[in-house]
Amino acid sequence: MAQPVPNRDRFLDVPEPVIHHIMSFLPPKDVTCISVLSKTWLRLRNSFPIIDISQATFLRALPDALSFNEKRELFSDHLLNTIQRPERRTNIHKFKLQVNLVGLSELDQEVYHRAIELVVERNVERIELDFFHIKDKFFDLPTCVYSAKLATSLVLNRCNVKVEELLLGCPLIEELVLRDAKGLEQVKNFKPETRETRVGRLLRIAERRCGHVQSSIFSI
Amino acid sequence: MASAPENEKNASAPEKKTLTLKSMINNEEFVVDEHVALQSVTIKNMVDSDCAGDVIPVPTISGEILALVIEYCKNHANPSASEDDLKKADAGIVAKDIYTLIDLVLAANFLDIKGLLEVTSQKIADSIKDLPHQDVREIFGVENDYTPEEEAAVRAEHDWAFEGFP
Repeated sequence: MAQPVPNRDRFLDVPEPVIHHIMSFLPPKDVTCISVLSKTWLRLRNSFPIIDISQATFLRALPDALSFNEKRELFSDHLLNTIQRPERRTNIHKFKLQVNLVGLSELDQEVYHRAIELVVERNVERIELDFFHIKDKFFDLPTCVYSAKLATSLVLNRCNVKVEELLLGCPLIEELVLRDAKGLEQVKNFKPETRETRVGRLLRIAERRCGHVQSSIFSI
Repeated sequence: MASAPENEKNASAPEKKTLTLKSMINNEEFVVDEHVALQSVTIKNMVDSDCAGDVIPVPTISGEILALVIEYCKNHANPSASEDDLKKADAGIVAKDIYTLIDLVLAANFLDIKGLLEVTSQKIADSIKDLPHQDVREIFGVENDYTPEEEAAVRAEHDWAFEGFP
């Protein structure tokens, strides 16, 4: 092969899915930094099918002069814009959202529901929602999650989950990890006939609470 | 834990089959055991659908890269290799410069060898992890086509990711 010319973009011949695969090994901060390399890399970052958003990291970088509500609003815009970037042509592989604000207003809940609806519309495969810091209640999953046809993995922290409905509505689900969740008590009376309808699939349901991990494997 | 009768049955099977892989970049040929080459899903599909002749031409992959790919496949086809051995061997294979790593990731993608794609991608990602974007530009050979104003705007939009960077 001809010797590479110095300073030539080494990724010129690398297909986008391969670059995205390489990017999947980077922490979210580095993925974002990539957008500043060049216009090509901005496009690559904008079409990256993994969305990993931490509210704490985002809020920390905002100027102190902004009010609490202004910061909240900026975060909502950031979240919804990230999902709806026009470069996004493929399905979203993974959506991870960590919310760190204590308390959950109606308005916040609406924004998060909209975000989850948007990723479900884009055939998301893995969803990870962390509402650990909401102390006063549990986050209710929007109804669209119960019919996320391509979802294979759900990791939910401090959510209110209708487990049976989820298992029926998401035919590809292989992993459900619930931490500090409401709804696991339903699993204990999981009806055997429901399991019968899904012979041959393995489902891991794990409950983590205060450091103890209770994991049960259901063959359904 | 194969039992003796099974071993006898295997002995009557034809001798170990080999395949010849030929780099179409520099016409270098490699003779490899079939079970080694079959770790490539692309080659396996060709063999399974009877599309593979005695010599399998491999376009766009140089002999140098093909040799690395075959080394990887040989290591991973060895049933007595421990996980630790494989990790060390993989680390040796990807201890290369960025040009070689990119050729290798393209080869792993074309030949559909999942494990090799993973270790090579990881290595490329590691080479830029936590570095300021000026260094990443250098390593990746990226030509900056932003005007200073445009670059500042992109940076401002993603302020949170540039904490601690000049």
